[in-house]
Amino acid sequence: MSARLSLWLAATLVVGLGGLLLLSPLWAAGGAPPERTALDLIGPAQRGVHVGTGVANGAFRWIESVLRGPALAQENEALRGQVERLNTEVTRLRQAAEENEELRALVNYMRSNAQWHYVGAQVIGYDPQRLAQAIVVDKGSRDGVEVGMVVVAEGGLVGRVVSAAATTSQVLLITDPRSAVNGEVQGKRVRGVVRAHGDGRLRLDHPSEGQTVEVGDVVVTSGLGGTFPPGILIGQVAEVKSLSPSDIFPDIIIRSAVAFPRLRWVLFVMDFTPATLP
Amino acid sequence: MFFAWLSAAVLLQSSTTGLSGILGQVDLVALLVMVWASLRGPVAGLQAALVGGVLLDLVGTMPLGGSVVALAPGAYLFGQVRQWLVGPLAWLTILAALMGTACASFIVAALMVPLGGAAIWTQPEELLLRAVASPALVNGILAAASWPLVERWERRQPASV
Repeated sequence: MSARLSLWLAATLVVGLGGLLLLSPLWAAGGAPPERTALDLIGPAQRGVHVGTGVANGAFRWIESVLRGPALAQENEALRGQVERLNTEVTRLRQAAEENEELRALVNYMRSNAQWHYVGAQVIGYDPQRLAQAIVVDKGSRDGVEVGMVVVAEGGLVGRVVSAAATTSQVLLITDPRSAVNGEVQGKRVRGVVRAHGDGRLRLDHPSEGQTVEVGDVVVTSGLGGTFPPGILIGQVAEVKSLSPSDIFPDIIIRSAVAFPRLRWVLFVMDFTPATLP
Repeated sequence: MFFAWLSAAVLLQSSTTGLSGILGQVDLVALLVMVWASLRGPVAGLQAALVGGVLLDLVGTMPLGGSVVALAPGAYLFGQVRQWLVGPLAWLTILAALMGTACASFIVAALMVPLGGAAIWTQPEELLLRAVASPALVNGILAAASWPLVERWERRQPASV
C-alpha cells in the first residue's frame, strides 16, 4: 500500500469519526442513535450467520452421531433399562400405597371394634372347585388359628375357618352355598338366616315377623346359635321382592359389605369361641 | 407327565381368583381330564378323574371324593366313545370338553345341595346358566383353540399308553 493511500484512509477515518462526534448531539435530540444504526446494519448479517451456524451445528451433530453410533446405542440401552427399572419401582410403590390403604382400613376396623383381639392374614389362594367359595390365608394353627374361628375384613363379615393347617387355613366365605349365618335387620327386630343362593347373591331366608324391611337397611349377625358374635356387619338390603300369593316369606336380597373378588387381607377374631352343638 | 400337568392345573386354579369374571369360569382340571379321556380312552380318563378329583378336594373345601364323583362320568363316557374311533379327533375332544365339563359342574352343583342343607338353586335357569353352561362353553372354546397343539403333541406320542 502506498504512503499516499494510507494517508488518505487515515484522513478519511479521522474526518468521519470527527463528523460522527459532531453530529451526535443532534441524534440524541431525536435522530437515529449510532447503536441503532449499527444494529440495523449488522442485523441481516447476524441473521445470516445465525442460520449458517444452525445448519453447521446440525451437520456437526449428525457427523458426531455417526461417529458415536455404538456409544449412543449403549447409552440408549442403559436409559431403556433405567426406564424399565423406574417403571417397576412405580408399580411397586403403587402396590405398596394400595396395601397401605387396605391395612389402614383394617386397623381402623380393629380400632372401632376393639372388643375383640385380632390376627391379620393375607389371602394366598382360592378354592379350586369353581362353585365353592373359599379362600386360603397365610396363617394357621401355629399362629393360633382354629377351626370355627370367625373371619372379618374392613367391610364386615367374611366367613369362618373350616380347616387349619400349620401355616395356612381355609376360610369358607359367607357367599358359599354351604354357608349359613344367623342375621338380623338392625333396628327392625327381623331375624333370619343369611345364605348365598345359586346366583351368588346373599338372601335373608325365613325372616321373622317384625317391622317392614326396606332397601338400605343394615343386616348384622344376630349371634343366635353362637357360631358368630352379634353385631358384625353382613351387608345392606339391596332388594325386597314383594310377596306373591304363593310365597310365605318375602325375598330379601342383601348386598355384602365385603368386596370378595378384591379381598386381600382378613382378620381372625381370636378370642371369640364359637359354640359347638351337642 | 400328564399328572404333572394336572397338578399344575390344580395349583393354577387355586392361585387365581375363582370368585368372579371370565377367569372364574375356567375349569382347567375338568378340561384336562376330558381332553385326556377323549384322547386315551376310558381307563386313562378314569385315572385322570381320580387323580384330578382327589387333588382338587385336597386343596379345596369339597369333601374328599366329591370332585372324583363329578369328573368320572364324563371321563368314562367320552373315553368309551374314543375307543370306537380311530386317531385323535377334534370334534370329539371339543365335545368332551364341553359336555364333560357341563356334566361335572352339574354334579358339583347337585352335591352342594345336601352339603349346604338347603335348596340353593332357587331357579333352574340359574343352575343351567351359572353353574353348567358358562364353564362348559369356556372349556369348549379353550379345547377348540388349543386343538392344533394337542394334536401335534398327541401325534408325537407312542400309539398306546
